Amino acid sequence: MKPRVHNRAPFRLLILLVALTMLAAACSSSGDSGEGDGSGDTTTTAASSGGETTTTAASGGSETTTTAAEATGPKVLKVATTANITTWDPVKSFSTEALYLANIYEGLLRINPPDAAEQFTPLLAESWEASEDGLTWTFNLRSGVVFHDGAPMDAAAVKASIDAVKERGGAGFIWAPVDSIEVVDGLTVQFNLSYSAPMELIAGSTYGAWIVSPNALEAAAADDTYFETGVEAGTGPWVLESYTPDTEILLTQFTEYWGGWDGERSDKVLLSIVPEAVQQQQMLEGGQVDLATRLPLEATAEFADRDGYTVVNETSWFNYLAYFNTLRPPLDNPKVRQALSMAIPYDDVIAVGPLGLATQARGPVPKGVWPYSESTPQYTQDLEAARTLLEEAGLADGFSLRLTYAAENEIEGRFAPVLQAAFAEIGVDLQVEAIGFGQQWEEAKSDPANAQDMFVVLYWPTYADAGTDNLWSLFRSSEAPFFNLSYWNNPTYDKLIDDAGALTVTDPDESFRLYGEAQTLLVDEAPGVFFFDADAVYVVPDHVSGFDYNMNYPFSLFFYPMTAG
Amino acid sequence: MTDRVHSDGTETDAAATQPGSFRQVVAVFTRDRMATAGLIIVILFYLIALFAPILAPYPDEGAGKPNASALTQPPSAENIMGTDQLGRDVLSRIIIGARPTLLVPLVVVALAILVGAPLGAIAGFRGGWVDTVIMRTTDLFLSFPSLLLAIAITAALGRGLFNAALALVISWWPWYTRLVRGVAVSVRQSDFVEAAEAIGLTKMQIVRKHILPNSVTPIVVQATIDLGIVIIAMGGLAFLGLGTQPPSPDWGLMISEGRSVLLSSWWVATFPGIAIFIVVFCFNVIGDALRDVFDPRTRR
Amino acid sequence: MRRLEFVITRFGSTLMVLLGVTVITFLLARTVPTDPAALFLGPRARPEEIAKVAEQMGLNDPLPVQYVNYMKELVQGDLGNSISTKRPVLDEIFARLPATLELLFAGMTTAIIVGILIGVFSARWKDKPIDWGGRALAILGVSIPAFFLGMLFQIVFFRWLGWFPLGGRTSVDLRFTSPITDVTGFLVFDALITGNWEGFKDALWHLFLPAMVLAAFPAGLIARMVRATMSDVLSLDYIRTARAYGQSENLIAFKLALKNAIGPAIAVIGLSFAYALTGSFFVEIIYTWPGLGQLTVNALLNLDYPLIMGVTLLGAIAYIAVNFIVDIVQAQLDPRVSLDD
Repeated sequence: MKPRVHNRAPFRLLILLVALTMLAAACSSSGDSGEGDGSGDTTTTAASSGGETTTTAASGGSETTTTAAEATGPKVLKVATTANITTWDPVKSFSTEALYLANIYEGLLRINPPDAAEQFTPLLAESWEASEDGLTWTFNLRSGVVFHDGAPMDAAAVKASIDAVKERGGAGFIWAPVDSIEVVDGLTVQFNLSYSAPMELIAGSTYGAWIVSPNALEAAAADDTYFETGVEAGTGPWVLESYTPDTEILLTQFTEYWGGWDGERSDKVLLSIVPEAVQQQQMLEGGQVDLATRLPLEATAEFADRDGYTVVNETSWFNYLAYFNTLRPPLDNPKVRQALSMAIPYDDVIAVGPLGLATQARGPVPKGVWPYSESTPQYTQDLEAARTLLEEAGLADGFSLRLTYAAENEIEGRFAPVLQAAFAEIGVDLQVEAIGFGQQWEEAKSDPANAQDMFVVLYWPTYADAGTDNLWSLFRSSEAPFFNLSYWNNPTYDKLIDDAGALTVTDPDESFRLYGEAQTLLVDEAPGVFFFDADAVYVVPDHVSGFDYNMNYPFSLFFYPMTAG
Repeated sequence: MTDRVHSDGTETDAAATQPGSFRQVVAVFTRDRMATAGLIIVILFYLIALFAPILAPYPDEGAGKPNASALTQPPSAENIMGTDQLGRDVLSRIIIGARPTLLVPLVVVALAILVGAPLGAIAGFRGGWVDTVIMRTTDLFLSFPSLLLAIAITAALGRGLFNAALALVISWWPWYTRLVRGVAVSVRQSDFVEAAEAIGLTKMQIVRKHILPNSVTPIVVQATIDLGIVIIAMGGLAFLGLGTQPPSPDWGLMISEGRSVLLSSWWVATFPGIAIFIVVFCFNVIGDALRDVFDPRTRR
Repeated sequence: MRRLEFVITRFGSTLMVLLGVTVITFLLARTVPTDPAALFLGPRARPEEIAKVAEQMGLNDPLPVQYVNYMKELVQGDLGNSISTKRPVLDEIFARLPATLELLFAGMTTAIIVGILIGVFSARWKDKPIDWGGRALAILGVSIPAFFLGMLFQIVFFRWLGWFPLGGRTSVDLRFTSPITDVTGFLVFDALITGNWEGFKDALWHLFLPAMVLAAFPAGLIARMVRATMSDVLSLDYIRTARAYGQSENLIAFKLALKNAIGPAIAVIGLSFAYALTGSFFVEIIYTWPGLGQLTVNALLNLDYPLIMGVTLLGAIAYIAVNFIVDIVQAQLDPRVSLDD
């Protein structure tokens, strides 16, 4: 029994809840949906001083507040975002504010996109090594790095930051394998693990891996709301200059940034919080912003045909699936689940839902994330075979099912009727119901015996390991259902992924093989139906340079290399 | 005074309302061609709603079935009003959507009358503490902006067409209580009720025989006008996601769905919008004509 | 003496209604299908935590006791905490209120002016083409739902003509060029009094479409009412007398009659306000106006009941207050308003 997943589970939800609609934001161009979409944003309404007042960051930025006189002075990169700030506390952060925090704070390292030559980019750590058994990891830190508040970044700061996350962080569970952290010397820190785990992936996590100034950590330990007025103390290239809740965030250069400010750089980054995709489109077209993080799905196709814009289209971590409620007839019968999986026109689902901007999923592991395997099988639509299976199950006359999906998620709302129509073809009457994600999840979790028959969910790993996350959280059996909401219980599967997880570091090949076996078993038994991995789509105007999407940071964009010429 | 202002801004000065008869209602339409045209169009729309599945060119799509091969197509010979984001024929959606959009408000107003009118009759006729209790209760409900109350009730009950309709009934009945009470008070003060009492009719009989019949015309006039308002309110709830749930069609919901493609594909939201506008406009034209005849304020 | 008495009586009954309104919002909040404690703690709560919070929130007390507690908190300005943001509901509301008030104020002012103008012109030239046009406009106003008119205006004035912006309260660039100093929260007004001409233009430019959409329905209501009452007044004896004395018809209509018609027209302002208030919800969504409407709609999606009921309660209080003021004003204007109703 591994403690890590149990620790993790409760926290997963926060981000799922909050960022449900953000799928669009993160896969970028995905849609807008009128009032429906706003919700994700509300959930994240800043927990600090409200309204129209502007709070100025109390950190070490050297710039003074912008005034009208400077209007033509600074070179400003203007970005429209949908991401609200649920917290400015880098320790607690587990939500959409990652977009901003990723530019203010840094971790030990960054994981590169799958196509990069190197797997990692060293940031605060210059190098690291693991012991043979994968239980001891040593990180050598970069020297001469200072936090925005002037404090030096050293081993003690790293230990303090990660200890704080373990203790009170939203994503604290990612450090579960870490038994203790030792300060070897000023710039060397050693992680002692209780079981082997891929520490690079954990240290490169989007959440729970920022290194924060010890002064700020102390202040936050004493006062829970210390960060909330817009205080920060990172090492990143940008300082938070000002923050107006629900309205805008202004970042300005941290002059002492260790990476330096040579070459083409922006002086400031102005982030306008604009929840509406249509509005963002207008701002982008009108030149009011240089970049928009969320455009209507339909608009991306138009931009692709226009001069002056490049559409960046990459795979993402966002995996769409639906659980079957395997506790109750008829879905307790694998044949019925297979029949339903075969009734779905996956091409149509992809054409209608994300407007073609997706790839059919191979199980719950998104493409490009460990342990994704091209040999995991997929279902294709075959109505005859589906009918035969139903006949074998004695259900040739059909039956009815109830499906719920998140009202906040426009893409789910679009493809749910496709499922309805497809199931009707094999005599299955599907009732689709849009309810708030929280409500939907509550229903599935609290009363499995009476819960919905099908539950559509958008899922993504917390950090770059879908073995210990997606495969574990979604389908491994457990006594109290949390995210394994098909309530599936298969000892063979459980054993396969437990063994595979333990071998991730020490014997990756064997681990991959076991995971592969588990995924094949999973798809065959079909406790869920796997739709697609959504693409991340960004429209980048030609005058913006340095844009780079990194799938490992699905809610972040890095502004340091970006300029608007 | 403001207490007497009805949902459409007219004063419910029912005491002065002439009882009027259906013959007069008919007369309105023979005189006023605009009203007649309005009535014909409204009837037409309701017929469409009744026979929707037969009339819709693509009934499956109208009911919600997507068509992956024709996403957001502009109006053409095949799809006169184009298709929406899910490739569904907008015209078919409008025709099928006419049912929840037009028929449910009819039921809502009918139920509001069924609840409100008897209460008003009792209050006006009995007077005394019964009157006070009933009228204070209506005051209470009317001190909320009606749609706001309906939103809050739907939120509390849970979203969906049924709950939205129920919420509107709860928000709307007091208007009719007030209206009928006015009639009842004026009837009670008239001589023939005294005569009726003298010959030994019970109070219930008087209410049934005199007050309710006298209320019919003002109720019909008011209901006509209210229908337009309730259709908008119902559409508003659907627009907010509280009414009809997708993939079922509803004009308010369609307008909301069309919002995300408003600038690139105007037809998705515009046609259902025009449909709702035409119906409500016609109800208002009819209402105005009726009011001109039956509202003593504007009568010569 | 009688007038003061009237005000006091009216005030008393208003208080009673207010009390009743709190009962309704309280009961609605308790009708919620999900356990409020579970909602507040969010989905990761454990049953024992929920039980504890339920106890703390007093949810195990009998309803009347809960109501008394609710009222105690209410009079201290405590409407509870928002479920999604955990901030006090009142803070959330006040943060958004200025934007909504600015919109309402602009919309209602426009509606009153336009409505009265249409009504007066219609009545003055009754059954003439002007009347026909005026009446058509009035019916048009009350027939187009705000949620459709808003989008129609966006297509016409933004997409086709390019005259107005699609939404928002100000341009993004204004942050750098001429930031508006916050004084009252009414951006147009603040920009004006701080002499920020660029900011004033920009804020007004953004305010125009939403305010027009919001004004349409109330303007229609007011126009109808003014037309009806003006027509009545124009047929009264003293007007006939004035006519007989050879006063010009325009003078009669615009001076004598208007003076007498305005009182009854005010009566409909309360109701217009109610429609404008709910109309602002739709207008705010469509024009991404950062006010109460957006807040409420998001709250609806998140089942944020404290917030929904807070907005409902405040909406009712505002409506009651407007009606109260309207009654007093009417009583001032029109001595015939009786006290016994």
